[in-house]
Amino acid sequence: MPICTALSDATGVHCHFDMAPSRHSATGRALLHYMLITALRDRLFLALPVMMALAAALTAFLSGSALIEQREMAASFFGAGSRVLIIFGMVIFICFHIRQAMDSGEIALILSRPISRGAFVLVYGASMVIMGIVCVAIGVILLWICARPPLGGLLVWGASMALETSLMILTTLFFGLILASAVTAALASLGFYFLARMSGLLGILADHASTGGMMDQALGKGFILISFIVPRLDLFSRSEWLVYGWNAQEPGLIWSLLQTLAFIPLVLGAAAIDFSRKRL
Amino acid sequence: MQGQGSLRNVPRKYFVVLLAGLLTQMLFWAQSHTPRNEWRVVRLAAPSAALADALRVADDQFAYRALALGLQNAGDFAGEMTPLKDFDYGRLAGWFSLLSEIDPDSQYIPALAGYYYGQSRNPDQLRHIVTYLQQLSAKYPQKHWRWLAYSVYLARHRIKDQSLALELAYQLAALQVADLPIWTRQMPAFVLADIGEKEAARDILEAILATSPDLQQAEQNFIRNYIDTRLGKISGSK
Repeated sequence: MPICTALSDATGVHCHFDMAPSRHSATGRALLHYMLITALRDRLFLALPVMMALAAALTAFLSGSALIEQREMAASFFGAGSRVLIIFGMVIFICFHIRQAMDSGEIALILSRPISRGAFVLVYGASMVIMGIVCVAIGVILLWICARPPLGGLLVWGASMALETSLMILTTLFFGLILASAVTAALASLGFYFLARMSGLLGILADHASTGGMMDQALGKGFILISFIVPRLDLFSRSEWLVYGWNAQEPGLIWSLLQTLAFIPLVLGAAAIDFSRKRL
Repeated sequence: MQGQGSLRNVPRKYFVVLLAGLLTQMLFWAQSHTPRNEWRVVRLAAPSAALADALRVADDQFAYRALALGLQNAGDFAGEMTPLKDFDYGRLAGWFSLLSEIDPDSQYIPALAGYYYGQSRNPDQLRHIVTYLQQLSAKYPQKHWRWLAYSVYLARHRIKDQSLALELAYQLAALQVADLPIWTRQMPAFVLADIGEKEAARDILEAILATSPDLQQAEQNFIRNYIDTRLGKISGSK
């Protein structure tokens, strides 16, 4: 039985897809199709754009009261607001989606097909990343309409935001797969996100602590240990790109790309290892 | 089966609870909507740079804009309007300096300080503004030299402290910034003329004429006219 038909039977979601010759790519496309349909079912593509449009309206209202530099105000407010909405929206959607799929046996059903658990994690993650990029694209369009930031800065910000969202989606996938509760997974993911946005500060604190007393030095070592495995999300999607445009002298986007490439194998590997030994 | 059934199937006691809750909430609102938090002018002193780092959660620009808008609307909250004379300008200046460090390129905070908070009639308050603008333009002359010129205006016409205005005018004239307009070098002469030091003012303007051969004819004419009409004739010049 094709995986789409099986999923349609199991979930009540209609999924029509012909199996392609390559088994993994067909499974991947079917999973992507399935993810998109479940996102539509969960009103993700309705709720997020509506929330972002409301944020844009609020931004226009707030920035309209600024003494000067109203465009800059709108760009930075909407940039930060849409980032929070996209990340929070995707985290909550993924955590509850995974829990629902686990409880209803959809994941077990998918794994009854000839696909390894590692490949499942990879394909599942890729499908979610594509959805995240769609959400970022909506945010970029709204940002352009709302604040007309410099085009170069907007494109770099959008690319960096797509990387940040991808990274957080895969991290959420990891927490969603290893933790038994959707609420716990969502809280863990959001806590991780907050920590990752603060990771630059952790480095500064660690530097300061190294010159203090015994306790400070121990804390400093602790900060360094944490910062080893926490990505530097403070280097991603910086609002100043939306205000002053892309400054080519800054290594921002390169850092974002390198950080993403470095962290994705780590989080996917961890998710694959834990998921491989999980009893469904 | 999923979906919504008829409301008639819901037990009436639930509606009673709902209405009681609505009534209680309205009673609470009636008692609580009048008292508001008293606005203690700029509640907090500006935090240290380290604490500001923690507050801005790695989005400097958002933190800058949000705090700047907060400063613009400080005191005017929930229908209350606070006169400028009631503000603690020492604290305000601390916030201005902190935010200008977060984004030294933006004109928002100096404009807020100069054009909005600079409307105070209290000279003591204005001195905080002048000090902030002076320090900002000294630190970032290329971007913010205009605010030094504005602080000369504040000192000269609003604080009416001519010695402070003269000091600021000399600082403005001495700025090492490319393509500064000629009037920035003339500024000390204007202040000196105001306080009756016409000889010194004339010396400055004559020096500008002598050392600026590329000066536009209109500028030269203005300086000569100013000297003739405000400072007296120049001996030995045409």
